[in-house]
Amino acid sequence: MGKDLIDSGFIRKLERLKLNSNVILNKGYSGARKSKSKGSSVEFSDYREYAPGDDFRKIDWNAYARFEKLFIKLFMEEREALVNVFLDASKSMDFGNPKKSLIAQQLALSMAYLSLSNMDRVNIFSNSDTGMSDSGYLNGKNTFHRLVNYIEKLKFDKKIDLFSYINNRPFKRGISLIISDLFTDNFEEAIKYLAYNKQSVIVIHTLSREEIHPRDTGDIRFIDSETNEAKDVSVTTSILKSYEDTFNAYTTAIKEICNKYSCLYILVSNETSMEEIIFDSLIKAGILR
Amino acid sequence: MSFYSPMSFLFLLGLIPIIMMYLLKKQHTEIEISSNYLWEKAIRDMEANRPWQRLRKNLLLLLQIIIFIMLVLALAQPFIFSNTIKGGDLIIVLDTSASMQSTDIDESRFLEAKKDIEDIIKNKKPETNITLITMGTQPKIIASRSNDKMDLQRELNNLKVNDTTDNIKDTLSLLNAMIEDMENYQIVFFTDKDISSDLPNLNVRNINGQGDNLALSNISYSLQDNNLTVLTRVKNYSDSEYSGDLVLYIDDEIFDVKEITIKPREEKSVYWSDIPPSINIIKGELDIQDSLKVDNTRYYVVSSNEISKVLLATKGNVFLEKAISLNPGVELYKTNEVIDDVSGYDLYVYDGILPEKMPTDGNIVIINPPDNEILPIKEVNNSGELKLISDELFKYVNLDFTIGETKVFGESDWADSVLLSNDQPIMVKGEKEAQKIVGIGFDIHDTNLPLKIDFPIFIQNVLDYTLNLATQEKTSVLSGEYIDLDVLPKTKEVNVINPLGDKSRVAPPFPLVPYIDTNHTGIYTIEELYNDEVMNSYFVVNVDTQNESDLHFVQGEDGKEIQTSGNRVKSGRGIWDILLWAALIIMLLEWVVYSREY
Repeated sequence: MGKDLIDSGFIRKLERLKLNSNVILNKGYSGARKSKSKGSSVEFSDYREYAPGDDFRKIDWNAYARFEKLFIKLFMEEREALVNVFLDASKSMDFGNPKKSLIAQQLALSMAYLSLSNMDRVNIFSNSDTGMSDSGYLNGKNTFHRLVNYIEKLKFDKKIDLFSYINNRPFKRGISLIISDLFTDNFEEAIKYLAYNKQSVIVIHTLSREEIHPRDTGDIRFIDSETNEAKDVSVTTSILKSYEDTFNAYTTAIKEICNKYSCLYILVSNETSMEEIIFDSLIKAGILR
Repeated sequence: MSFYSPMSFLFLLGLIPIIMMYLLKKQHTEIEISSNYLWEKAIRDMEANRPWQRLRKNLLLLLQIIIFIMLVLALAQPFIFSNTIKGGDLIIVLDTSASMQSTDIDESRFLEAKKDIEDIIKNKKPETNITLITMGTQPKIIASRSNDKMDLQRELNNLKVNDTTDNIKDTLSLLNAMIEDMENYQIVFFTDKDISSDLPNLNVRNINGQGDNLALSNISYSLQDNNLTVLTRVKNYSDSEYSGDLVLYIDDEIFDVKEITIKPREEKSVYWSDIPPSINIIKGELDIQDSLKVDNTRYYVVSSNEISKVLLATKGNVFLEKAISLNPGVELYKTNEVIDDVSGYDLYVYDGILPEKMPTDGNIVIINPPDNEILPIKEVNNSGELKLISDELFKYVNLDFTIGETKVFGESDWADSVLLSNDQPIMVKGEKEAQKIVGIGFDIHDTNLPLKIDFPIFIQNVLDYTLNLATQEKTSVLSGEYIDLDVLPKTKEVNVINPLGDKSRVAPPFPLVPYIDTNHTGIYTIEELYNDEVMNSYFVVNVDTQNESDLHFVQGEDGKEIQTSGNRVKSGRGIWDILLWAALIIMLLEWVVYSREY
């Protein structure tokens, strides 16, 4: 179980990493993540003059001895983060060699695992036949197998646009990780909504080689796997050039949206190995540390 | 632009299968991709930037359609007239002269020209009126401003080339007269001759080949020691040496064959001797393969040397007697009395006396007649100033003689005055009921004319005029020329049998009109019928080798380079070759497009 997608050696490597997020957490259950709240962790943060009502257990008596004033020792409060993984299970993800869906599954699992191992709560969202389904929030490494189970059972045959359902439900402050090929016009709407919901958004754009650099020429009838719509194109060098321009404009537009809402963005090709993605690309992009 | 064969446009139906094939062909390799999202954007961008991109998808189809249309256009044989006529008059002049028979273009120059004209007629615009003129010895209007294609076609089909020479001058003046009341017209000449004219809207379509030609340019004979010697002249109009056989026929039987070799542009004389004199026709034939056949044969008629019988009725006139008997062809009979009901003579000469009833079978010369019915005498007076009106009888005769007393003839409807004295006719001649009559009003003794050296000549002239009846005087003409037929007075009916064997009646009615139907070379037989007797005489028609045998393009008379600008443009410039080239170039283009997957 889970071995098809991810192996134990890889998982062990993952344990050294954590999701980098500047998300400021001040609510939620205590976890392993530093929060803005001063609290009960062992990590010292600051001093503050005592005010009536403060927990006098936190008074630094040594300081009182020196200054004859009551000071309270403030400690970092560690909170758990809510990690929302949006895994696009549309039919278009079921393409490429290796399939984009495989990369997406592996990425989702990896991210979920290292979130779990960082004492975060993880929820996997994906599009169902009727809207958006989720695995529910899980925390603790012992729930990992449930995530694996959920992700493994996902069928990449949906014709519903995940992004148009994201703004149907509220999200608590947290981290949102989007894994998709982003063939949608609702992307900006969704990101905007997530940003409004105080999400620290990470976008992992998965594309296959054919989508980045198409090579087929001649009279081709492109059939859209999601809509079955046929598009007759006489692919010539100039058409390919035009495609390239369109593709660049499209990725640039996505990057601009990401910048606008302070999202982290990375483009991942299905030809890149999982390890390269995790230990090179994602770290360089500042998504992992 | 017009089309020679618009029917070819039916081939455009062939476009349907081409387009069908395009529609039916499995156009696209089906590839299932994740999403058309980007492709749609890409294509939308492209089409927005370059609207014609939409066309590019079917560029190959477009090119194929263009190629096909080019080919069909080429089949339709479009042509451009240099000056397009818009519903005006088209005058087509077709040269029907002998040189058009040359076979150096396809079947012959003439048929080639006819084919071109046929195309013009077939494809003429409905509002164009066509005038068809043939240019032979005389220009002939075959169809005048006709709009009926069928009619024109039929007239054209009936046209035949003949052996004549062409009369460019008369044709041009005819055209000049015709175009006077035409505003919008075009003249197209189909000829192998040079047309130098400043007629406006004149197009000359020169039907020229590079054929070699040799011609028998002359054949004649002379009498030597009771035998004939025949001279033939052969001219080589080509630039190469030719050798072949020259055959001499005598009355349709081969007399001799000589092998000749003739250098370029050379004219060679060949003599044939020891030919018996009692023959009718000599014919030379050149047996050499050249482009123009008709001028390889030439005919000549040997004058028949029949003796004419002349009856001289006179009280005594030595001058006259001597002068008449000088002619070797005359057998002279004399009488001192008037004999009524006389017949059997070709000529009756009455000097000073007249019978009561004139003979009906011969010609008559009446000298110093008493009062009579045929030539009424107006008065008798002394002659004054002499004035000549008709000079046929006075050919080579000087008018420096004097006359004493003379009779003045009254007017008659058949006689023309020949000699006037004080403006009164004293010598007349004419033809009355097929009898030639010469009337001389003065006595031969009463003038110094017999003492002059001219007298025998004068008498011979009179005899020539009155005695050439039995034989055809002129026996050789060039094709297309008219010929005067000389028949006996007693002849009741005259027929002419042409070389093709067609018999045509020339007379009655009398008097004879010149025979004009000499369009074919060969021997023509004049058949005279009288009193159940038939007499044949002959004349021959030959080609005008001077004008027709030189097949190379003959330039203007002054030898100047012919100006080839303006109105000398070739008519019916076919542009199908251009179309074929265009089709080929587009096909190459298509190949480039295809191979570059552009």
